[in-house]
Amino acid sequence: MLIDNIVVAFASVFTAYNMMLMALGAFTGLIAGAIPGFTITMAVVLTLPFTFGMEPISGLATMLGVYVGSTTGGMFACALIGIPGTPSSIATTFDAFPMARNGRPGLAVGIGIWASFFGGIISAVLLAVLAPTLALVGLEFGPWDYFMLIAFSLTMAASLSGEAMLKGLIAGTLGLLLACVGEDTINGVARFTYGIEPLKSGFAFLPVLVGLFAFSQLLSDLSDTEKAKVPMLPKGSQIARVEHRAAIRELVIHWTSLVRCSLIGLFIGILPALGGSISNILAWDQERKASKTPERFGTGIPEGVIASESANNATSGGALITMMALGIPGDIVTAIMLGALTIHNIAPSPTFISTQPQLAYGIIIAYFLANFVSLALCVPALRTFVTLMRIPLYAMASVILFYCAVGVFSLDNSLFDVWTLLVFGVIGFMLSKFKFPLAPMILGVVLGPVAESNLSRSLATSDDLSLFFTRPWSLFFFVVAVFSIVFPWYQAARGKARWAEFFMPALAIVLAVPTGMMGGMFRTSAAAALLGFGLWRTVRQFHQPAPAGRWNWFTSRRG
Amino acid sequence: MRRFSTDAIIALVLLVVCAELYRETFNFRAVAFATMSPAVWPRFVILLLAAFCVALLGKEVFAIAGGVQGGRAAPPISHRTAAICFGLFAIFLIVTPWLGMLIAGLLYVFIMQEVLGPRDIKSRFVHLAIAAVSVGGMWAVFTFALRVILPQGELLRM
Repeated sequence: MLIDNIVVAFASVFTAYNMMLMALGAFTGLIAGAIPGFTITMAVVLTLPFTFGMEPISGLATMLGVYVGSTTGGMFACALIGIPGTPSSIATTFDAFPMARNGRPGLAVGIGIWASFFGGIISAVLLAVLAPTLALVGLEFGPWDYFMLIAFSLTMAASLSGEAMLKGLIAGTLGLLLACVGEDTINGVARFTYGIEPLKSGFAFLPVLVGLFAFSQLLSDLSDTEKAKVPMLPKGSQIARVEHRAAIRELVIHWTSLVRCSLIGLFIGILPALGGSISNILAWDQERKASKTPERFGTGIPEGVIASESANNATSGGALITMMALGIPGDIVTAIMLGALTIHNIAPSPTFISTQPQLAYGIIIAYFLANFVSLALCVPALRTFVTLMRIPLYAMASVILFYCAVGVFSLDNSLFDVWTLLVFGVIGFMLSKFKFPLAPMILGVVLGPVAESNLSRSLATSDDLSLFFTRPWSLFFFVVAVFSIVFPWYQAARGKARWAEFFMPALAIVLAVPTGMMGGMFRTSAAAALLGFGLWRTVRQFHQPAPAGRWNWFTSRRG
Repeated sequence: MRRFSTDAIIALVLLVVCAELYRETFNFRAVAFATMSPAVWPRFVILLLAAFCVALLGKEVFAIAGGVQGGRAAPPISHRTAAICFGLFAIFLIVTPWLGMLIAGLLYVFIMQEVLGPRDIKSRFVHLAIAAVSVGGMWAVFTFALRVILPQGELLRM
């Protein structure tokens, strides 16, 4: 069955037209990802207008090309100029740049390219295996469970804002509110339109996205006018020759790091709302802790580059698993893809893989192939990147701002959409300046209508509100949502306040309850294991008190 | 006495917005036999937003009362460039129905570069060339390849 679906999907994706679009997307993505200030999200958002007129699979192949390309391209700037091209490649800078400064720029880029490729391939294979399995779990979800899953996604996105979590929650709720504007999908009643006719259909997804992510980001980059006038690479800079053989040799030597960090990246991708910007740092840190020589990390060693690059590329596959299996974005780029799919009247859900196997497996195949295409185009893209980096930012930004306007106009041939773009550009710029994260907001915009329809379905089925907290999966998501809210405080208090030592055991004990309620051999065993682990760690913590006077229960004061 | 931080001001502004939006929910058309009124979800979201805003405001007030540095004070950085860019984009949108996307776009990209970049004679020619090639190219791609009918403008129609 799996093989049949893959063969059929392969035939639909592997056409000259689709491969050409994918190559174009990957090439664009590699360059966009490489230029500091241009994020993966921006690259995917700016590709959207071109994909509306295409068949869904062609549009997705293009976007996946951009996605994979920009994730890989982020490391070019890390290795060559010491500035991360995208937030997903921050940790790559720690070792790739010192390696380049030690006289091996070609090796640094080579390891980055091949680690990205293998990270992507590992996650593509697991995507094909895990997505249908997770979708089967998703079929157990009722509207109550879905509603709680969305709540969890939003709290997770907000908790990433660290100490500014309250601002993350505000941004997420603002996104939910924005999604309310226009006629509601259930009853067709106009809401918050204030008599403005074009608002009846609500804010179009694309102008909001481009405004929040591309427009506002470009204007933030332009704030320093002197810096914007200077090319990022000086004239006469030469591109290093990529050392492919030496890079592959390093990957063979450090294959355990490659596999371990790819799995870390995949896991982070599966968690709703967490993306490559988290996974690359986490994988690098875990690799350092696992190393016998942690002090060498940050000095230009291959393991550091492998850890970061394999993890961030594997995250893309993980994010696609959650999007395809549950209809919940695994990161902000898949949130955009989700929006793009709805424009084509396709709504991913647990039934997506079984009802539309050709498209679902087409996405998996396109993602798999995009890694090969991206690998093949790395060298030419690197040359183009070096040329483009000689153009000052102000000239590039002026052209891209105009492109934003044309792209948004092409969605519906409406100047109102371009005004929407401007308004959301201003809103995005202000929110960024006041340190409000934008990711929860866009998740709110995407997930708002889904949350509302599930709330309506649940109330239509039963007026018993306790079901939101008593059904196993609802309770499960409610528990993890609550713990994700507390997570930033836990991170700050770890190793300082005593209560933090009991955070993980408490989570395990509490999660054992809904897991046990789900029934079945495997889940009951998992609940028992969680309970056992939680109790063992709790008892252990009580019997191993912290050194007297070193820390106390709720504060981080010492001594 | 310490002045309110920007976060506190934002929280207050959002609370006012919440109040107005909540009032507006009473103007929604009532639907008979609906399982969930169209106002239920927006009200829930507004109340949630208001609660978060109150929490942010409270955090700032406690920070001020405790003598702790609260959120940032008035932004010290000049956002003149961003304001100019937004202004130019708004002007571009206003004139597009008259000049059309091609001419308005050319002017917009050229003026943006002039405002943001160096202003010597050589750079001016470079800016003009970049504007002509990029806007002309993009216009051609969207018009002929993607078949998008971009605004022609009253001027060209005359």
